[in-house]
Amino acid sequence: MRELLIVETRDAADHKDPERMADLAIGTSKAGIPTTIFLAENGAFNARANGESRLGAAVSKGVRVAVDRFALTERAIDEAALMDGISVGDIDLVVDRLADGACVMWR
Amino acid sequence: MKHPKTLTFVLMDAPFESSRTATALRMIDASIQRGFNVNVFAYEGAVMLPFRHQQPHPNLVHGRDVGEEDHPLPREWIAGMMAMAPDRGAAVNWVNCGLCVDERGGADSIEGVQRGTPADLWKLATASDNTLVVPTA
Repeated sequence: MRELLIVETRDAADHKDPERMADLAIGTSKAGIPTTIFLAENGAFNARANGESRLGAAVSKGVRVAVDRFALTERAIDEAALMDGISVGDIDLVVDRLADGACVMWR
Repeated sequence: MKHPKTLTFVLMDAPFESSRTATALRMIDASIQRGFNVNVFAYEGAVMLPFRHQQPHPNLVHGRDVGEEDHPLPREWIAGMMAMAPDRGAAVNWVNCGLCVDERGGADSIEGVQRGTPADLWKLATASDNTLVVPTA
């Protein structure tokens, strides 16, 4: 089954859709589709432990969540401030998933 | 010999407006670094990304001249990636939507940029290993 990668670029404090994307990821993961959320641009704010997001629920349900190191640096977000279970990665993660044939959704 | 991967990126955002531009170009760069062939179909404002007449400017507020400001230009990033690609065994095929170009008077692009139609996007996507649409925010 093709992996699903959701690239989330919006701050959950500004938009409702990141919550919906987290719920979508929980649903696809539950259905047996390997699912990853990659947080880029302002989506990096959602990775903070004190941020407003449903990512914690997604992580606990088996969704892999990674955040763009470049986006963290731009926004002066310390890796120590990230929610448990969220890893730090680079944009290469998106390229590698594309090359492996994943379905990549840009939000 | 292993078949090199080909990825297609569909871009929409105009230069100097959104983080999307930097993110998209970072993905294209990472693809080239891996030796992947890259197709880009640019439409709407994104057709101005390789516009030849983009110019750097000084920053009068901070008292910096053109050289000190070192303002980044997407056309230079794109030209740099196109020049780098052969060294990585890759190729960059950049196609601008012709209608979008005409609307904006943006036909004078850097060398290597082609003019096309949505039918070309279909052909590029069909011939690629994968395609990513990066819509505007």
